[in-house]
Amino acid sequence: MIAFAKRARLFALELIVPVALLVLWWFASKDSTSPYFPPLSESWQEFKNVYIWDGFRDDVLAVSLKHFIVGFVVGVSVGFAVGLLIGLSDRARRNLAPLTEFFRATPIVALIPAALIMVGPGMTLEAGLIALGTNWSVMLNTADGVRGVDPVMIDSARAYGLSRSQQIRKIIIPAAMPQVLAGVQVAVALGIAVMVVANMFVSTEGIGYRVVEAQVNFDPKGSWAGIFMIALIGLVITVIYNTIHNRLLAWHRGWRGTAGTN
Amino acid sequence: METPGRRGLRWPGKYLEPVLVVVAFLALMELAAAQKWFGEEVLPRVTDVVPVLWDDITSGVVLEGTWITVRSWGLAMLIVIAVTIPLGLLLGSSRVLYHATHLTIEIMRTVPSIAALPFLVLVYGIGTKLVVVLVMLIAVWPLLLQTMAGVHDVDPQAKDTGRVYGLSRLQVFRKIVLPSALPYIATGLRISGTLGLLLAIATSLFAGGDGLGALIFSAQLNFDIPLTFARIFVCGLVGLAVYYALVMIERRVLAWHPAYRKEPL
Repeated sequence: MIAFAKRARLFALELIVPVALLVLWWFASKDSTSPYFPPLSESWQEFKNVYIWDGFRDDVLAVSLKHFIVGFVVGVSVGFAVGLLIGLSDRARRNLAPLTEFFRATPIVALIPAALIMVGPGMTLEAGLIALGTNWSVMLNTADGVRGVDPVMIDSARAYGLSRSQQIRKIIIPAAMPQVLAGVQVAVALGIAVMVVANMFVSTEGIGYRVVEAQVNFDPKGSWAGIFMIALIGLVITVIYNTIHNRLLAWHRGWRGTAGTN
Repeated sequence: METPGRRGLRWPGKYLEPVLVVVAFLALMELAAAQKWFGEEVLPRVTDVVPVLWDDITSGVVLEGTWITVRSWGLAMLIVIAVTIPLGLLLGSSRVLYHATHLTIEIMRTVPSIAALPFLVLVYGIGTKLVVVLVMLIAVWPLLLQTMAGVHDVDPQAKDTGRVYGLSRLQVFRKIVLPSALPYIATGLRISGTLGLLLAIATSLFAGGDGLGALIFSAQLNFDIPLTFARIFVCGLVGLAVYYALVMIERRVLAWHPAYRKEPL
């Protein structure tokens, strides 16, 4: 009970600043005549008009989020599977390193023009770019995590007669999980960014395109409404991801807690 | 001498095999282009890209674009470092300040700052200023969060021990807090730096100007596919250079730290 009260107080403390900033913005912009910074109330009105709910359904759900989910699932699955294979073999990891490191370091947005020529606009292109953008960080982190598994644990598992596939499932994957998820966390942020950029650049629909459209039409209210929508998407995806992340790693935190240091 | 128990390859194999993999990959690209696996004229031949890349470098065009992009990125990163690290140290060292600001910054970090690009084009026009502002917008959050977390997570026992041994507050900060926060800060700098470069290139790709992104875009507009790929390759090299520069800074600053000590080969 005391712990609960303490957590509630902490949460209240954490909420003060964001709420205060919003209130400040609302009142500071109330009589704003600047074309770029319209009153927050008007941008908010525009947001409600456009995105609740038609724009949300047509641009966000049907286009941007769909591309994100498909691309993200493909990118993370491929990254995890290949990373696991690479991590299990020192030789494969070392030999592929020049390619994997190069592709990870290549800013994915630079590929957009070439990908547009190769694939043409549409779902394949956008989901593909998101998959490409999320794939490498998951792959390389998984490989590192697998490589870093304590050899003593693997030896003990073998001594207890676990087969190779049991070792992978029961020892290697759980032990590598924190690092895998660190890669996925980077992939979430990258995936959202690529989703927006791809939308802006190669699409005629979707949330990124709406923001560009507002810019071309010199409609700052529309721009702000779109920015709010994108901010909300980023926030919700991150919250969902963090919940999954904490659940998957709960056992690990507990273990760390009892193990004491580090 | 080989470490016992490790069936490591001797050095020719160690370097030869990765080189062979790269050569095989390039050969595969060449074959895919020659056989038109992806259709007509979409994937250029490697043998066409190389001379184009060479011309682009010797004429100075791509070097100029690279310099413009890297310069804007570097300028933004310097501002971010100068503002964020002191601020993060301050916010991290007080429990109240840490909890009051943590959630706000987490929220700000999740907002894809690329969303502001079209809007900021209206405000700042196209040029170095726009790139610097956007890079700052994305790079500031990871570094700030990491710095705060680093200071916040300092082992209280270590601080108490320092106090018991008669260190002043400033000494505790310099000798205990700062060193144990440094690994966090270094990681934050690496994340901020790579994200910042992504945005620097995205900005010039989208908004135009003289940066690397704009060069890629203009090559694509002219349907000069070998040149498009040559310039994407340069982007990859820049990304690799930035990444390794940041990793090297991390290693140098943290050479004393157990996690970064050279592993015996």
